[in-house]
Amino acid sequence: MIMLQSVTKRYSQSKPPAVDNMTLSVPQGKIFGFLGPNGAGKSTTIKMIVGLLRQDSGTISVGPYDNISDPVALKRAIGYVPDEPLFYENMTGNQYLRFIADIFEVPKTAASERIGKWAKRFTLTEALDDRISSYSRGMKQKLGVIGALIHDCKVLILDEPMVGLDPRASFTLKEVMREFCNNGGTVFFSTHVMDVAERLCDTVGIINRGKLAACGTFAELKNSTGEQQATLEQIFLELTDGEDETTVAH
Amino acid sequence: MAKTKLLLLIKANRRQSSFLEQLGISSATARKPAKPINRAKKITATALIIAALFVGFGSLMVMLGANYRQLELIGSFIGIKGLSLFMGSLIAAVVTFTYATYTAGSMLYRANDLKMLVTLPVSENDLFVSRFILHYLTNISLYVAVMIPALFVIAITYGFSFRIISMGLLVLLIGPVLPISLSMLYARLFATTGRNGGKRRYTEVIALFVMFILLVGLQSISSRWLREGFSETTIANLAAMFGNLFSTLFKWFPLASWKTRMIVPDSVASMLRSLALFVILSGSILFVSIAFGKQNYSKLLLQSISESNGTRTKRKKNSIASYEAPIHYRSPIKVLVMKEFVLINSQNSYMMELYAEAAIPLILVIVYFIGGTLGDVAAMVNSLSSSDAFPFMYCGVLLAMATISMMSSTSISREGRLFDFSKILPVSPNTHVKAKVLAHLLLFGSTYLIFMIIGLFFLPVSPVHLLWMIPLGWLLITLSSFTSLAIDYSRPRLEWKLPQQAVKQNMNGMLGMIVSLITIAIFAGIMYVLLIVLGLHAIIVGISLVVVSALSLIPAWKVVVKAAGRCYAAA
Repeated sequence: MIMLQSVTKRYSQSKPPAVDNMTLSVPQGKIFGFLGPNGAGKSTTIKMIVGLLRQDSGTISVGPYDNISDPVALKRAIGYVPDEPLFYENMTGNQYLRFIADIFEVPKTAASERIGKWAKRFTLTEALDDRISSYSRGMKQKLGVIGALIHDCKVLILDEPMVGLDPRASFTLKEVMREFCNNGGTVFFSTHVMDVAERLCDTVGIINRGKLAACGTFAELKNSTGEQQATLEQIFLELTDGEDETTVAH
Repeated sequence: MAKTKLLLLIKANRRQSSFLEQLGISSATARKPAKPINRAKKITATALIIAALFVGFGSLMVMLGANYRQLELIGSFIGIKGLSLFMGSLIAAVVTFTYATYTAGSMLYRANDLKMLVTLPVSENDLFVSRFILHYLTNISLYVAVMIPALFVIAITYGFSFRIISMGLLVLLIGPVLPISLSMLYARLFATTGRNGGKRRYTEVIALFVMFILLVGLQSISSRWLREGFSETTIANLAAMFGNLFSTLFKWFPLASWKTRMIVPDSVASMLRSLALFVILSGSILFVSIAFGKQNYSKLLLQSISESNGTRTKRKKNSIASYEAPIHYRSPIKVLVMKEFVLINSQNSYMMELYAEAAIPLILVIVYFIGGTLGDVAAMVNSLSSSDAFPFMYCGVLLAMATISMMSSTSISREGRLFDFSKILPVSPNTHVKAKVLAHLLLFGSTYLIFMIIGLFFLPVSPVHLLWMIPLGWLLITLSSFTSLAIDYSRPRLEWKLPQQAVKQNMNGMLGMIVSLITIAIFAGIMYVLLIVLGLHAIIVGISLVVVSALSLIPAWKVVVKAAGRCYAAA
């Protein structure tokens, strides 16, 4: 469903690429967890998929849509929750969701129904008529998630979605992600929470210094490292060994 | 082109800032309904602000109108009907182009909401056209403001008619096409030039500087012309002096002369020909500009976003992150003073506002020089110089200029969301206040001293007066800083979308200036009693004022520290 082929992105010619020749494939109906140390290239990769950045080389596609030749169709197919949710803060939650629904050309009745459904699920109904500027970080995160779900997309892309969410909302989101995949959707999300990745993801990719260090199911990762008893956290630490020091020095 | 999407994009953006919020009266963060007493205060404040804006705007309109009236009279001498409208059209185009150039980059390539919009299924065409329309809507008001007085002059001169109203509206609506399109093309040229946006920022500062010079120049020229009066002899002289220039301009700028011929009563054939040419040319400019501007718009937009992403972690020269790990311990005050200037230097609008305020005496001398009134000022100084109160007048004028500043009265507001960062610093409110006052003194105390000493070379004031002038100046600037900070600490405007909202659209700035001017007036009153009523020696009066100002710092310090304590305390 999501395909990255030899994708490279540099912010500066004098520095190593943020994403270096990455090839990655996420099949339909799977939850893909994207892991990596700070500054490894997770957000850059996600931003390229959703159209916030353009790769220097390589191809990115979601379903049949290429991000360069058919960006609008690609964007229509995905729902994106950024790491720092951006809104028109003077709008109320309801106005924002209707704006998103209109942009995605969701019929009015369907939009109202979905707004009601998701707001109830994420316990945001009461706040929907308040201005977004008065929302807490967690409420904004919930609103971002609802905005991503409102158009019944095929692919959900979430950048650090659990940040700021309370345990109940975090649990709900995990439930929603699983249901989304069971209904044929694909989830691509980045996280630093190994426990969440280990329990929730069908496949995991670990990125380190812009390169995909490992990719596969949890079992495949264990096999590749030769440590059958290892946790995902231990595998992650082994694959990104010394990265923290190099990041600081860098 | 999807009209619905275009409208959605435009409406969503325009919803962002209400009129009251721009004035800093209504807060976007307000969730609970305001208490009745607050509502009453808000209504009063709104009424006062609207009245102030009305007076300010009205006086500008009257001044422009008077100049246009003179131009119209000159036009009648040199055979150009509607010269006022022609010149108004040229001035409006230049002013609109300059200001639109300053804002184009932000609106088209770097606005915060663009990062959200590029992830939505909106075509390149829709996105570009919506941003262009928003850019147009943002800047059209400036064009209209400069043109309206010219249209009034035409209506008064030739009588109100359907033609003047209909063609006038058309000109107001379509007239800005050329300057705004050019500003868009200029922004496109520099959309991604230079890493860290260095060159881009440089070009915007140039645009803002040109705008500033233009406004100062316009005001000076307007004042100068107004002083000439409206007598027939004067107009005839002006027509003889500038007639050729105006005639040449009328030939060289056909778009403006067509606008004039459309509106000024003349033959219908001439009007129709001018109307057709004006509409066709403006339409062509619009079409070509949009066609050119939307080429690779997405690519440029993404490059711009990419640059901002790539530089996020880069240590910028003028950012807080640029502080290198200190090898030696630096005092918190020194670091906090540096922070103040880092914040000022981080935004072009702060730099232009605050550094220009510090240079007001120099700017005034330039304005008087251009306006030809420097001689009048010199004559006035000569007539006053024999008075014992002259050194106090001199000191008072400099102090009034040094305290008409938004440096302290918007200092906390300028921090915006970074204020939370200040709150968690392990530094006492006193230290924060001291740093802010020191930063204020560094900018305004130093320029006060420089201008004061330079002035002594030209004015008949004995240098012995420096004995009290320098300490009095610094103490009163400090007092002004205390009161202004107390105002901003009491009601900081921390939620803003555009940095200029923290300064230009912040009532605290105006309140700070008013309080500072009242303070200067009180000290002038004390001076009057001691020097004129009691007849004390000027030096003794000066030293007495120093003592009074020093004593007044004590309660002011307590007030500001108390306000700061409340502000820095955890909510």
